[in-house]
Amino acid sequence: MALSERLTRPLLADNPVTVQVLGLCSALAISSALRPALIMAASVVVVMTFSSVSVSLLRPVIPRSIRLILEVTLIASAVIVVDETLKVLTPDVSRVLSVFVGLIITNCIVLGRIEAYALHNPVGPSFADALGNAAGYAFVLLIIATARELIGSGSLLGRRVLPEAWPDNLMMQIAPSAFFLLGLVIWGGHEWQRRRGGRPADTLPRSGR
Amino acid sequence: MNVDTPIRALFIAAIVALGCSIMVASAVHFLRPLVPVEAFPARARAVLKAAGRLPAGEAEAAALAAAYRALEARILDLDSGEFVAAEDPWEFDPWSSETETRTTELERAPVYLVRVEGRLDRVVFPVHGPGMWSTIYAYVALQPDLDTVAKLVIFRHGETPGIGDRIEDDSWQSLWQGKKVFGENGEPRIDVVVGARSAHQIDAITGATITAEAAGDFIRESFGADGYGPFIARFREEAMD
Repeated sequence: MALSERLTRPLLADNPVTVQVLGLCSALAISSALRPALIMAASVVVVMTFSSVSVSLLRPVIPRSIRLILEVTLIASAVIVVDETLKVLTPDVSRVLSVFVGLIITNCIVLGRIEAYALHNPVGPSFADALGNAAGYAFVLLIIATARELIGSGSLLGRRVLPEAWPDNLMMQIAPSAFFLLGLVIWGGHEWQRRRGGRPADTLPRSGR
Repeated sequence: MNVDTPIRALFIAAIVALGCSIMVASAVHFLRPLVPVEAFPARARAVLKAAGRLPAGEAEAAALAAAYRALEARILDLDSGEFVAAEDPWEFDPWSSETETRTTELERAPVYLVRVEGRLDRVVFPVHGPGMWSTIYAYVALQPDLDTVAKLVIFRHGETPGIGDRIEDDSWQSLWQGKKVFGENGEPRIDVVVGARSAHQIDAITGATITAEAAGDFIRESFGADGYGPFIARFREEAMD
């Protein structure tokens, strides 16, 4: 697979959230407004590329027996650095995201791509793979956050865009709405794939949660 | 070369651990000093908000400090319900030690008397207690009758982001306004319930029922005999004289 395809496939055709159904909990928890979702997406991009690249670099020397704990150590370190940086750069968003930045450690997309790809591939493709998957996650997260903030509060990035007459939609502000939206996004993704004549969704390999 | 020998594994683990700890330690070391400090303490801001004396708009730290100092701060002995002398009651933070998990465990607490043109307008009480899985810190401002809630301000908590943290919403805190803390016999009756019906009841928050009800419980408890009860009883007697 070409490097560019490594990068673009996870955006739509192999999207980690809609196709592999990974990394859902944070996509649901922090998608009520666009600004925190953007910061979260950027954090995941940084953590994924850092950890995939470093695992790929260390891959000739990583002993199989302790590979998981080493991978998690690298991910956790990157997450702490990102968290500390957010506290300096955007203290208010950092307060909103609170534990969810720390929970990037448990985001299965991160460890999933390391185990499935970076552990066996050179740095360049691993970087592209991590970046592509993080962007795929970000893409879905931003779709949901845009819809929730727009319908829920009539604003985008905290700025009012719909007329004042638009009523706040409480359901869009609370977590369950993210389930409905995610369901719609997954359905849309599969339908798009089917019309394109791609693999039928129900024969895709399942990779757990 | 076999990379899976125990010695080898230990060696690699040590190197990775060392590298990661240097990375984390230097991030904390260099970034922590850059964390923006609030020019005006958040606690005092919360007191001002409860007192209804928060200057409008983006007030400067000096204006906030002046407004805060304009309140009358007194240190209260909770058991006796009497004021005690203190150096600088404005600086007294009842929550500085985290060993007391609820108001009733405190020995002393600051109360803030808000006067408007010489007449008592509100009295602000610090209250805290267990939420769903964190201690919630808040200020309750009462009208001069020391019964009617003028304002509730949730100051700090560690409830679930996006769910329990909706106790911070103004829309919920404003439900407290005008509610009565005490029943006919002087016992605290204020409560958070699903489907509020009386002057003592505040509606819980959909999706955050446990946190909201817990807040109601510790606030009620804070105005009981082990909390501000003795002070309020004494205050009422004096008011009648």
